[in-house]
Amino acid sequence: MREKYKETFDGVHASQRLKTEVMNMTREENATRKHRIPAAALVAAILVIALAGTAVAEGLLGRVSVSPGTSDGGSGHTFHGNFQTVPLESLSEELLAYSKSGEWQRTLAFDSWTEAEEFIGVEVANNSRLEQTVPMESGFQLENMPEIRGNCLVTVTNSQHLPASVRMKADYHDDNADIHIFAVLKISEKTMDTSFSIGNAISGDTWTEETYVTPNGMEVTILTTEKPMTDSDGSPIIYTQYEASFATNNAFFYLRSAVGKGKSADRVLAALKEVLDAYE
Amino acid sequence: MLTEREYTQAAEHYLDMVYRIALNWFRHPPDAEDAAQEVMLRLWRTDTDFQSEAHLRRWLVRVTVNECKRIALRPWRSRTAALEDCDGPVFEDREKRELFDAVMELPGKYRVPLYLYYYEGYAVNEVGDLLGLRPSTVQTRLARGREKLKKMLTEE
Repeated sequence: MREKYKETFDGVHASQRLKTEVMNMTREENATRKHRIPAAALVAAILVIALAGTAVAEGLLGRVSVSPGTSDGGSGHTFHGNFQTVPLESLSEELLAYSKSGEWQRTLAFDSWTEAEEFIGVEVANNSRLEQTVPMESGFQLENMPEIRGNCLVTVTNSQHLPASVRMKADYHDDNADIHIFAVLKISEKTMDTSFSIGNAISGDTWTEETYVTPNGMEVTILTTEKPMTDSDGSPIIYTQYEASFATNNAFFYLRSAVGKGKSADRVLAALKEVLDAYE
Repeated sequence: MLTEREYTQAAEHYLDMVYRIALNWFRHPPDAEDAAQEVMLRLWRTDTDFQSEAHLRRWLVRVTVNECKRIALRPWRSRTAALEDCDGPVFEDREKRELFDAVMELPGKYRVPLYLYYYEGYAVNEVGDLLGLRPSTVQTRLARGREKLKKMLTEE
């Protein structure tokens, strides 16, 4: 049935008229789109200029806000953060040469976060706690392509043969928690947009938001989501997930940890905070 | 936000998928085209930073479903289109024509799950996540949709 169905719908296409309209949309919309600077980025930019004080400006850039249930087409939480873009000249020759390949996007695997930073050419963040934690290999797979596996995955998105954004993903494991880390850098010459949002994978039934300040003064937004679920034996359980987000000078960070079966929610949160405290 | 080139690539690659989902939703090509055009406009305007091709595809499916729901609520839109009013695609192969007609005759709640599962290759729980349905509901709809299709095709 699947094959017959696929063959049948292979013959269903959008009309040529619609294709033409959709392709021409960019020309008609360009004028308005170019002037559409995200409000949050505009506010941050004005504040940076007005205050002209680096310490204060860094604090404002670092704040992350959370909007529940507003991600496009989804029902999860969305984190919004503002951060400074990275100048093109900071990036490594290797990354720039790689971007010239003309591919829109590619994911590369590295053995460690540090090795990934060396490839990018930018020190994204130092974390002494994570250096002592066991990295977990994770995978990434595009349709019809072999899976890429490594301890730190780097996805480079290119635009006109230059990198536009770089994303890093790494997972860590210790006795108390598995922590998933995601960071994004945007490149100055290719974007004016200094905001970033990430949609959460689950829609929580109840959630609480906390602003956590690390010992070195970094403000982190931590979201705790609790979702009633049914265990494999039919008994009711509460699934708890912690999401922490902050923006540094040059990257947006998102850390996630869920309370697995037999794990203590307090210990998971404590482990997450230990990692946050160790960001320099 | 996508660059013009990224948008063009995405539109070339995914416009048919968006249109097919909308056609399965409405059965009515003009409504499906309205929905597809609106979805592509939202893609061009979105600030979403797509993490992967799969993320982009998933975003498009969810936005298409939401757009179809929105268009279905328009007061000036006739809620249901009679099958005979629908200028669907032209098939030279009789078997494909019959299967397409049978799919379009299915109740709406079966058509989109079937398309996402059979054509786009999403797993049952992913279809549930995309449509806001429990996996058990998707499983039931797929089973009943298949059953009804088989019955219609056998009767013909």
